[in-house]
Amino acid sequence: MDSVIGGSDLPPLMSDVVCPFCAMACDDLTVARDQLGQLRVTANGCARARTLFALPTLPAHCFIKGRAVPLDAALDAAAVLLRNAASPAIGGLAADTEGISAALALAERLHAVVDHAASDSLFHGLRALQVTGAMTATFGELRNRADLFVLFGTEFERHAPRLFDRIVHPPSALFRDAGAARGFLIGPGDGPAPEGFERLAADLIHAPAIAAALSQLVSGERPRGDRVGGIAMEDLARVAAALREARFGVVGWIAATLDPAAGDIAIEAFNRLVVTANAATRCAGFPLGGKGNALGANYVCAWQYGVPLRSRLGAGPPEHDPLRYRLKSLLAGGEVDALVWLSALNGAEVPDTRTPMIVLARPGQPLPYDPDVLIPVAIPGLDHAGSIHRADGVAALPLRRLRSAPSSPAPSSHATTLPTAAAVLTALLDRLPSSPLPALVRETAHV
Amino acid sequence: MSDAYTLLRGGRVCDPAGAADGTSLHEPPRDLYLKNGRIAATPPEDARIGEVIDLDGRIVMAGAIDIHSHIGGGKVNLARLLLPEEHREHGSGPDGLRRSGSGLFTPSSFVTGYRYAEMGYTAAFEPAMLPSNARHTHLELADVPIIDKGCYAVLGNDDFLLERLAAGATQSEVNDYVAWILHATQAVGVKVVNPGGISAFKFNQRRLDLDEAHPHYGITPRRILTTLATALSDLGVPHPLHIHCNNLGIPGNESVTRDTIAALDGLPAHLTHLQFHSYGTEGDRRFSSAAAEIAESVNRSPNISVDVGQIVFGQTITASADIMSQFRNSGLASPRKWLCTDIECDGGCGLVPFRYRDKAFVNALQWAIGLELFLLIEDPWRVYLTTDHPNGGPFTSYPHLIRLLMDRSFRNEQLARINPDVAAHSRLGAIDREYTLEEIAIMTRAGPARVLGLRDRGHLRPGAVADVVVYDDLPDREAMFAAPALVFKNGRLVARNGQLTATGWGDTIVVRPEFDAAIERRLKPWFEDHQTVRLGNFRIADGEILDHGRGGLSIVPTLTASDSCF
Repeated sequence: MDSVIGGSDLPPLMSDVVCPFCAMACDDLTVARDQLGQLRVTANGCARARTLFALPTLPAHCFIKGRAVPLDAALDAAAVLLRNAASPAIGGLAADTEGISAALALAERLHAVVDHAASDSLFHGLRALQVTGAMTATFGELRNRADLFVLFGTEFERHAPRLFDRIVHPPSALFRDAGAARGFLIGPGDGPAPEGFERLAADLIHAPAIAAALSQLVSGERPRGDRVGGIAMEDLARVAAALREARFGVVGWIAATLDPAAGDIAIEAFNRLVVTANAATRCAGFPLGGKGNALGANYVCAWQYGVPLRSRLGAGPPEHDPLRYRLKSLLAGGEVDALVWLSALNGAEVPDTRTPMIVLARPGQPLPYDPDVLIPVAIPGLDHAGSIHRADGVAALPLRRLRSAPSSPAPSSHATTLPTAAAVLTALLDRLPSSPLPALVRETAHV
Repeated sequence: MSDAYTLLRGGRVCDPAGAADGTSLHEPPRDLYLKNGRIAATPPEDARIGEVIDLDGRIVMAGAIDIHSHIGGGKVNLARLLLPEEHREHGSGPDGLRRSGSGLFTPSSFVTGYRYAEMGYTAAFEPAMLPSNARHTHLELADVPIIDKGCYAVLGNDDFLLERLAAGATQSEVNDYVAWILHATQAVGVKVVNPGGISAFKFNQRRLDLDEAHPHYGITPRRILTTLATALSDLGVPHPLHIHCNNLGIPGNESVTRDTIAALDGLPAHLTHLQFHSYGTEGDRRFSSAAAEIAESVNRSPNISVDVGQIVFGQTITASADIMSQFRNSGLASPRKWLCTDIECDGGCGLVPFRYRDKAFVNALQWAIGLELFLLIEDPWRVYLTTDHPNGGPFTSYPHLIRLLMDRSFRNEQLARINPDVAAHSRLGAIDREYTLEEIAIMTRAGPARVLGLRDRGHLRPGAVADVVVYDDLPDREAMFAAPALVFKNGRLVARNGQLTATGWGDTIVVRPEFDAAIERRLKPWFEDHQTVRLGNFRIADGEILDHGRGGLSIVPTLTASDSCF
């Protein structure tokens, strides 16, 4: 177990490093490490990676309501808070596979609701999947094959920073001219378009209508009207023609930039467009974005419990309800009386809530106020080994330990190393009574 | 671990692989000793016996082994996400021993391990691990408790292999690549799925026959099949190429299946979910059983083993790497939603929910075809019990299927209930054969162990892993096999009367043939120039499996020339 971090046997320059800070999970970074353990991305990182890898390893203390305490005292206080909770929840879940597993096991013990900080975007896609299904492709297929990209959303720098370098215009491709992919960017903004791309300005609130019109056009029908969602019909007809003529087209979207109230409707329309295009040629859907290993958190929950996030675990069979168990709504409605917030990676801003809260966070995580209990945890992929899932869902990538704790001037000084999220959550689980209630077992007959 | 023996006294031991030792069901009851997780030889008089369990003539078999069951990995997990309705219907809470979970045909990982153990299964093999999805698959399987597990890496649609074959790679280069994949992905075998077809679909081709050239590479499925089968034979990998033939589910596909067997020309191979590949085109509906022809072909080919992929009536989901077939069948989705994914210049994934209806002619005939294959293939050492879980139905239906095979009158009662045209179009009603308990033990234990190269599983000889199942000899074989009296995993009692009593972790079973590491010099630039994961990050280190305290790695020995069989 890599729960305690120490040692200084790491090489000063490391290649093929996996970046855990967005769902592209780029694994080609070169990272240098100086004698104090400070990291620096020297090749292939985006701006966010350069910033987050370079955060100093601060010696960090645990706190109870702003008062520094040893880890054991923080764990004891957290256990008291959780033991007395009637409707606890575990949120954030920005962690590696093991951290997420430990959080789910704790939720099962507590009968808690589980949800990820970025689950609104995740559930746009999931709810669409559960209605229509989907037809998608992974990064490797798109890199080598895709000759046309129809992308809904424009904030790639923020949500998929190296999309163009790695996927759209890669240095080489097997089945297409690597530099020649063309496409359309549908969404707000009017800046310069990347080479080969054309902007079609639209408010993405109209994405379902635009995609539906494209489906009609691809199947040879002519939708009524001159414009859809602000885009002229002849422009849409050109997009449809391009999808028909492409050998392998892509319909991509940044879920986080879709209509928050109806992102699932948009993605259903994208899925239908993709299936329509596949009647005659090849085409694939491609969700972009995601942070804090949101997809991984959902996957782990699905394989361990059979249900996605936004479920209540442990109080009888897993109970999934994407509306009722949306953590943001539960917090806003005052329906949670103890919250465990897990933020070992980026992308899980601590919610500004008065709900009693135990925060497990990487050092440097901004806090809106002092939580009841704060326990700093190590960053997966920098401070300890582990794994995360990439946005395309197929690849889980290995995380390595890249740095050790800063050497301490006083050998007896405490708090020189940070525990992993999994170790903290397991220690918390060990402080709680086991099997509190007789379980409600729904019998499943053998067929 | 204690050095005391556990004595299982007076069981009727049904151990076909141990027959050389003089043990068979017809012998008088005998004692079985377990020690340190293994079957022990009869100890000396003064040995310490820790526990004595009287079996009173109950039947004793080795733990059962499922050679082909989709229990984990990307497509199984997406299937769970696609069908929340299944998980709403079948759920269980924690009870102090079991973790909570849900699902029937795509059960959650913990439930998968519990249900297998409760049915007397102590190992299951995930048959479709895409190399690009290997880490995810092993992460999931690390959460399947109790049973041992292993994976077959899917090859034969991966662009590296197709490109090298088209460029005229030597057999020895292919061998090195196959061995490298087995190591890198921690696999125990290689499966080929619709050879060439999954890749052809990415070039917008919708069907590919055995001798049809791939639209981009120009090579044929026949070439892919024979090259991979030869590679595994050359490398001494005990489990031969695991083949999902071309044209799954298409009426008339029996000819491609027989041609595949002929193409192998004596090379060892395993044909999986044969039921889906045994269709003729006779009759008004142009859909008929070709089970007799296929069975005859298998009977004549001692190099071939098969599993059946029996269907079971009811709701399930079909989950396959064969996106070409799954896209073709997407119109049959019930409920009407499905998912297809092209994956990483490596393979694909197609999920189509499906309800097999006993009154529908096609489904009812599929049911009959599966049973015909079981009953017409003569050698139980070469045909194994599977539903291709979840494609034909859930693995929890095995006890029911065992009864169908062992009880002719029960079988004919079922035949009388389904679409009446099937009885007229199938020879099933005329087949008298009933499987014996020894034959069931072979097809569910000894046979799969032999074809996987598991020398210390599937039998009860001294030295074997102490995976032992004790059954009450009930006339209702379904009840008997659904709830064994006792199940031991690694010598530890884990279930009694079909209910879990303890949990733990099994091993991940892998194979590691020797190869020339120079293949990495070719692979490294391939990963950098064409893939989206670097070679070093693609490879799964032993520590990734071992460091979680969830079971060890068990390495299957490779075969040598002097080692034709064991």
